[in-house]
Amino acid sequence: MTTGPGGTGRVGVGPRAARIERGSALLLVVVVLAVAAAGLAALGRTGAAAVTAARADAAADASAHAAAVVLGRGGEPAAACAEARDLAQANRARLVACRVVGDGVRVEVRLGAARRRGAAEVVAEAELAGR
Amino acid sequence: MELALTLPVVLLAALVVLQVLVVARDQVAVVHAAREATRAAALGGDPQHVRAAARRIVPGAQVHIDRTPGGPGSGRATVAVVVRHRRPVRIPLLAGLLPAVTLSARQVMAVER
Repeated sequence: MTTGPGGTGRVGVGPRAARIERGSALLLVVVVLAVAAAGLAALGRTGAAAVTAARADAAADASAHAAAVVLGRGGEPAAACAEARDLAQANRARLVACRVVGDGVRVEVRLGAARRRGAAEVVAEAELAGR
Repeated sequence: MELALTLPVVLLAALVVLQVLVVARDQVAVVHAAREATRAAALGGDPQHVRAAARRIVPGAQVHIDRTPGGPGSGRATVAVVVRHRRPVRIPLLAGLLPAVTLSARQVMAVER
């Protein structure tokens, strides 16, 4: 804000006022662009984290399922966990824990920053048919 | 004056943010579709059934099924499903500026039957 040339008391007139207005508009555009860029970066990270979490969920599910398939065919717990590890790797994840309890198996996988748990159990065909 | 100059920039930035959200949501859906399709394939579902499982979540998705038979001594039988979905930009103003995005997800499971 400025007074015009000659001190007439009018506000925002003259070449100097126009320069200042142009300068503040540019500043506003720069601020808006900076905020938008920061927002986009944050949103991109959040989106990527959500996708990684979904992939980790799927990998944990597949890993636990593979171990249960081995158990269902009469395999040893060690073989079941080895299979869980292989399937986790096939889904680009890493098995960090595997525990066989009775006919069930619990696994934990890591994919990027996401850690997810999966569980599966062996169910007899006859029992499935009755459900 | 400043507002008139800034508004288009704000609008464009908001639309880009919206597009990023839409792509992230669609990618999660594609991962979920691959998971469901692989589960169907692991249970012995035929290709039509497997594709239907994926397309229930992502209509129009391309589904590729790859079965690896496990022979004696060669270990497990697995099935891998790749789901691809080409998503054109439908947000006004951005549609002409940004290209279509192809989203994909791959899932591997042990074959149960």
